[in-house]
Amino acid sequence: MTPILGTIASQISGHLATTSYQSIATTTLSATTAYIEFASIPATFRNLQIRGIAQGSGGGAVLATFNSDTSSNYSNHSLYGDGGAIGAQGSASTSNINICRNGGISTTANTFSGFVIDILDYTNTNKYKTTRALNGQDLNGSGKFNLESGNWRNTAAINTIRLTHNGSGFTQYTSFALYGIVGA
Amino acid sequence: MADAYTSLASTTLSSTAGSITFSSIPGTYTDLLLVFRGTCHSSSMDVCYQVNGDTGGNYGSTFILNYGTSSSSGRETSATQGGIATFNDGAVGIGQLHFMNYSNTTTYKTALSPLFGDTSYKTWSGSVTTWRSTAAITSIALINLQSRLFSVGSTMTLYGIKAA
Repeated sequence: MTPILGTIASQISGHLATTSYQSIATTTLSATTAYIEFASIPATFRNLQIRGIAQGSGGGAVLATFNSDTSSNYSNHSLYGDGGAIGAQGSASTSNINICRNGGISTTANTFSGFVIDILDYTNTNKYKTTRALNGQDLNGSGKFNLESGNWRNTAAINTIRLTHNGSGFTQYTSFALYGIVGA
Repeated sequence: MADAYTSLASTTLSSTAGSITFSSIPGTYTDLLLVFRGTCHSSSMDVCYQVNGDTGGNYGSTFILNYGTSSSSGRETSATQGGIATFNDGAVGIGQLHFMNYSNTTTYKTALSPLFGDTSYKTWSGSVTTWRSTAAITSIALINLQSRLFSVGSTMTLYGIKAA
């Protein structure tokens, strides 16, 4: 991807983003852990993307919260398929966003679920925050493919993201990387 | 700060081809993203992929499909290829394929395909595929089950995404 700069660099004051897609932080687990958190996220990007693989002890789902808010300020909808049927589901006034519907995280040796999570316009203080997530696992005979949308009803800029496994925790080799995407 | 998103290779077909392959993929990135836009030369075809030349029954896929008025979910077990989508005759197929943590040698490899669509017949599909091997991915071949041909002008670009 070629960086696009629409302004002469010398005219820019403050932070100068010279690339369009930057790695901010990565966490790879060496032992089972209940959650992964990205804190002190810089406000210098337009959008955020989290990419990763995960395995969960005890099944369950992966849930996202922002800025340590665990009140009922979230909602989400999902479209999913389990190899036999396709379905949709929505939840209102929840205490988190469901990033990975139940059954979407692997518990099988060597097999990890994939995640691509977008958090749009995360620093805009004039609107609620919207997320979309792509997730799935295939266990050669079972599995699930999920598309999830989410909303955090808060106008605050997002500076902390926590991903929690509501089973018995993310297992070793689970890895999530946070990227920042620069706007034009 | 370096850009985490790098174009590794791109191919535009100047003559029809039964497959498109990227080989000698460096192991220095975290994820790979393959972006495809192309058409089938004649009739429809089921577009799939194989990695590292593996034609054994080491792939499993779970997918969802939409044909405009109907939706379904299906699965392929112990398949000889990872599933992506069906492209119909004369329609333009577009899509993305994410290979997650493709170079680690500890886990099986998961690929997510969120956006393979067919612009004329209004089909859409999404899939997750597991390649049951802990080997690093060094080559990716886009193939089709009917041994048909990708049309002239079909393009495929491979990006590397590198985490800190």
